[in-house]
Amino acid sequence: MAESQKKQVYRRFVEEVINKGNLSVIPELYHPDYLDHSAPPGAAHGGSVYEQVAAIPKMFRGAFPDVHFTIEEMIEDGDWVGTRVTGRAQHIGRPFMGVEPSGHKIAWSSLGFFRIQDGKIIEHFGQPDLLGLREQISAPIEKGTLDENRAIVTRYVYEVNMQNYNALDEFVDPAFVDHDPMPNQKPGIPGLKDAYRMFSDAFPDVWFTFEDLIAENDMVIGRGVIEGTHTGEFMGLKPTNKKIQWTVTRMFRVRNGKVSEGWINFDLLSVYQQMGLIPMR
Amino acid sequence: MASEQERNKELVLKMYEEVWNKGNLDFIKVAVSPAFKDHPPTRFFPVPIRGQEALYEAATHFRAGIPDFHDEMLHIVAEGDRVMYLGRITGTHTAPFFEFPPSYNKISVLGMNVFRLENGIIFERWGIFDVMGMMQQMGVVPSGPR
Repeated sequence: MAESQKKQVYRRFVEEVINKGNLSVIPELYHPDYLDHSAPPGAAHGGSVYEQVAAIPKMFRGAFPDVHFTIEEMIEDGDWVGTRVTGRAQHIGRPFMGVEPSGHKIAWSSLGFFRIQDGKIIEHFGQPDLLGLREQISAPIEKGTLDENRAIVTRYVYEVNMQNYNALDEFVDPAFVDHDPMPNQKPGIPGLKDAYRMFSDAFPDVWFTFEDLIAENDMVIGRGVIEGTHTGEFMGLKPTNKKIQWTVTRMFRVRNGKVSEGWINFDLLSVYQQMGLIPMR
Repeated sequence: MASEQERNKELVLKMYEEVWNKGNLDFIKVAVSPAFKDHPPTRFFPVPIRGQEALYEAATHFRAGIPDFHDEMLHIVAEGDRVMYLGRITGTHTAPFFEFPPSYNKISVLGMNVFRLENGIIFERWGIFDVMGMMQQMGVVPSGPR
C-alpha cells in the first residue's frame, strides 16, 4: 500500500530538511499558519515560519553535521500523524546544550505529533530524549580507544575554529609533521599555529565543519566544509569581501593521545572561482 | 461496533484515568500484558522495564512524589495496532520523589507515548516525557537555556 500523502509530507521533512539540510523545501512542507508548541532549547522563537523551522535543522546540523533520522513508525489518524524516530549522529560540530564537541557517536529517540492540513504541516509537538542525548555527549572518553582518537581530532578542530591556538599545545605532538604545509611554514606546532593564523587573518569568521569523521588504527580521516568571509589578504590576494565555502579532506595520525601528523587537501580552484579570480564554468 | 483502533484508544485513556489519575493500580492487570515491554526515556531513576511491574512501579513513585498527579490528554491517535498519546502532566511535588526531597513546586510538562496493543491490551510502550523540564521544575538540575 502506498504511503499516505500526510506521511509523505513528514517523510520529506525528515529526509530533506533533517537528513540533507535542504532548507529550500520548507515552504512546500510548512503551512504559513504553522504553530510549534515545542521548539527545542536554543531554537529561535518568533520570526517567519521559514526561520522558525530552519532554526532547528541548522542547530542540530551545526552540532551534529552527520545527523540522520530513521523513521521507526508513523501513526496517522485524522489530521494528525504521530511519529517515532531514532536520531544518530556524531558530536563533531558546535557545542550542544552547553557541551563542547568530543566526537561522541550517539543515538536518541524522538516522538512527535504533526497536524497536516492542505498537504502542509500546520502544528507540531515534539519530545526528543534530550536528557539521553546530553548524557551521551557528556560521557567520559575511554583512553586508548578509537573514540579517544576521534575525540582528540574533534577537540583539535574545535579549538582551531574558536581560534584558541594555544590549546594546540595540549593536542599536538611537538614533533608534529605537516605533510601539506603552507609555503615557508616553520616545523612543528609553531608552524601549524602560523598557518591557522594566516587563514583566520584572511577569513576572520572561518569555521571548519567535519561532515564525516572516521577513526581506524592510528588514523582519523574526515571530509568537511570550510566557510569564511574573505576580508583579509589571502596568499597574496587582496580581500574580496565574499563569503566563500569550499570542501576539504583531512587526515591525522594520532599517537599517544597527540596529533602527530596531518594531511589536508582542499578545493583551491573553487576558492579562486568564488573569489572571482578564475571564471566559473 | 467501534473499530479496533477506537477500542484501543478507549483502553489507553481508561488506563491513564484509572492508573495515573486515580491511583487504581489494580487496573494495570486489566490493561497491561504480563509480557509488557517498556522503552522508557533516559531518566535519573531506575524502574523495571519488563512486565506489569514496570507500570506499577512508575505509577507508584510518581503518585507518591506528586500526590495530585494528573495527566491530561491533549491528542490521541491510533492506526493498526498502535495508539499514540500526547498529554500534559501536572501536579505538585510535595513528597519525596525517588531520592529527591519535596520542592513544593508545581510541575507541568508534556509527555508522549506510543503503545502497541494486542487483543485489546497493552504489550509495549515507547515513551518520552520532558524529564529534564521536570527535574528543573523540581530544582534537581539547574534550569538551562530553554
